[in-house]
Amino acid sequence: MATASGGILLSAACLLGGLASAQESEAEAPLSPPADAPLKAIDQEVQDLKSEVLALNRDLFILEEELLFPANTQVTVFLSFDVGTYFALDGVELEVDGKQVASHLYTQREVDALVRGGVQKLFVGNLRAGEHELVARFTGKGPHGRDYRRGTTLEFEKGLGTRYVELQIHDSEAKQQPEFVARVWE
Amino acid sequence: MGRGLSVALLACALIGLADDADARRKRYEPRVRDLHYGEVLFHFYQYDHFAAITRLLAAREQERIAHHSTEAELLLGGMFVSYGQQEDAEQIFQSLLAQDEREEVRDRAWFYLAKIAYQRAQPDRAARALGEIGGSLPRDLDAQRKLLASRLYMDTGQYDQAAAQLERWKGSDEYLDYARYNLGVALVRGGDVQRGTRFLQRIGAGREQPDRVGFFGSLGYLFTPWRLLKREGAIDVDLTYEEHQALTDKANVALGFAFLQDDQPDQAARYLGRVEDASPWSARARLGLGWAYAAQGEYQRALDPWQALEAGDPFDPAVQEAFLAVPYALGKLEDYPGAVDRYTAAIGTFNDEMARIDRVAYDAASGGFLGELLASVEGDDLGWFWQLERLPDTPQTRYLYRLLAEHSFQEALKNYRDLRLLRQNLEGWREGVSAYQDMLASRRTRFDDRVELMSEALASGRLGALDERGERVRARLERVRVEADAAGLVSADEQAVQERLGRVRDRLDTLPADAGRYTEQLDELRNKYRVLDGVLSWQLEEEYAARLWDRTKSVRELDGALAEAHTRTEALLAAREGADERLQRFAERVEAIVPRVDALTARIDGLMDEHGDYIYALATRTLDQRRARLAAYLTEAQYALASVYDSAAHGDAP
Repeated sequence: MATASGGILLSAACLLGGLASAQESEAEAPLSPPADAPLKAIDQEVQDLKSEVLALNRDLFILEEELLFPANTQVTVFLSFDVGTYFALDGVELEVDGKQVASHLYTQREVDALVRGGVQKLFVGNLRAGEHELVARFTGKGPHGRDYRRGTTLEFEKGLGTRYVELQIHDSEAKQQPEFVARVWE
Repeated sequence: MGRGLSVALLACALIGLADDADARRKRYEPRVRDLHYGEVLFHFYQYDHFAAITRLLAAREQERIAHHSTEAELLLGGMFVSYGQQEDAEQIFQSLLAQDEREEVRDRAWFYLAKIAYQRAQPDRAARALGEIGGSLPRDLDAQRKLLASRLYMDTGQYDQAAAQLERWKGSDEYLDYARYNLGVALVRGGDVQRGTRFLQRIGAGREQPDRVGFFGSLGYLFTPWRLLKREGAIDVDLTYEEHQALTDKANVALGFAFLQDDQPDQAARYLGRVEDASPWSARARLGLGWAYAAQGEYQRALDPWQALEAGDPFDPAVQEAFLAVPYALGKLEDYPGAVDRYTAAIGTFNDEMARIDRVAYDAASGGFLGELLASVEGDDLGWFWQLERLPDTPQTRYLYRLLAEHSFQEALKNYRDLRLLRQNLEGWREGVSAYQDMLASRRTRFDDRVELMSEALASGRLGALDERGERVRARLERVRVEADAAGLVSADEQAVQERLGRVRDRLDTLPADAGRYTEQLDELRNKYRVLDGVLSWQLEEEYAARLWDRTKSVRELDGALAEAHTRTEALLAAREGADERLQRFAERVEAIVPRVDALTARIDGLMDEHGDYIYALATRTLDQRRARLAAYLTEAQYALASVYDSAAHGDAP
């Protein structure tokens, strides 16, 4: 290389320089966008906008709930997993007072989110004060990959405040199979 | 592979928290203690940050996550970092530092602050924040801390310290190769070439290729967004092999050029020759390989990789270099006609490529293919990327792919995509708000109808009349009690009997005392009357106390019923006023939203235009740079050609 023509020397030097910076771009390049004034200004503006849109979403989210599901009639049903080794969830159907109010087929990503500790808001609706019956039916694969269909029933009293019900699928180590429980949160 | 580590660090918030959740699950500790926090996690673990942040902000506002307050703040800060909201994130972590004394919380806050500072190209602040971290970070976050610290040291040329951070590195496999690579680079640059090489060699040895790489895998190989999308869960394609292979190739290229610089071309050739043909690093590797052979005087051998390169994309700088390197080698081999031909061909290629760039630049400036690209930034996160596959194979799209691989271009597109998503979100709310307005209007109508019915009922004065009657009954009973008037407590039947007896008495009174032969019968009737009247009076007297108590009890019950009626009426009135106020408050809240949505939409529109212009400018600038480089190569080729002619004419090597 050292004996190359001036032109080739130039290009070789460029090449080495390029590679050195290529190494940096992979392992050490700064994470921020290039120091470019217009992008930085826009980036700041995008951040501000996102912040405001998020605040607006928060306000609308709360308004929507208060408007559509007032606390004195609201009933919310959540679904959660505890471990989830013995049951691969495919779908769930939910009935309240004999009427189907929700059904859901799960994607793998949703199941993963549940197994990792996420809780799904399965249903939110309005019910009169008094006694109600909730029936949930779960379908999926149970131990040894067999099709599994199980249900759980809960009778609960709807009082004046919001009522939260949790449907939980958890592993019974003793029975080596899943258990399905519904309970009211106080 | 692009900014591998940068993406990895960008995903720190996710991974750190995800690992925490995994650990929690494995330990069978209680699940979430606030259902709404669990709901946030449900969206978070699906990498839907917008939904997760919205729900978390709402739950925080409604005070529904009291049991997870610190955890929620850390999560929110981490999500803000991932969502590009560094200022909001910084505010949260600074606030945690000001409020929380616990070391594990403070250490995490400092870690994220360091990362934010690094993202903002503020290395001093990042280093200071890292210095504040004690020793309570979880294993994976601690591993990422060391990676970050090593990069900070390398940025300032402190290679020994950088290497020290990565020695005995412990972390998930995900980062192991990055750590090894950086350690290798740090050691080589710090002068310990032997040890550095060893680490790079461990990566350079590569892994076994899986059976299926697939189309998406090969795309991911080229474009960094795939890695970003994969990390954020937007795609399910496993790029582990591609990521690792790209790192392997990069390590081999780095080793090759390190040995070239160290005047060990044979060693350089060994590593450069390992780079796979399909690798994004293969062009540079081939170019370097040619130089390694050339440095050993093997010009004929050097021609192989260089000539192979010539068939590559003329947009690639390494390919452009090869157009100059090939005639250079031919000149060395004294093949002057060949050298002249290739220099001439190179000049032609450079001119063609410059003309092509001019066309693409013109197209970009007039909104051509970039306009299509920006218009395709639709709906879901992947929209614009899927759209790329459908673009026709033209010179423009070829340049488009190359431009997209530029870091700054990706950042700009990401911002543009975020703006588009924000706009869609607002449009969704605009419809929602309009529905709420209708809903409130219909509730108002229904409410007004009911209020009218209620008002009519109140206006009829029924309750007032009942009050008056009740008052009269109370007064009568009081009189009976004061006067001990047993007759005042007669029942309706007894009253009828009393009246009949009265009529009988009146008739008897009209008859004469001496009625002749009927006198005896009349006396008998008068006696009967007296007996019956006496029985009735006796009965009333006898039952007076019981009757008084009974009537008093009834009146008390009547008082209760009237009081209840009053309470209900007052409650109804209060409810009417409350409902009225509530409806009014809702209406005001909805009304207040409308201008916010409008204002934000207008700002987003303006910013999208501005950002679109910026993306055009960025594309044009990049193309200008490419053109300028080609122009330099062109000059170089023309000079070299003249030099070859000159040398050929004089019979000495150029």
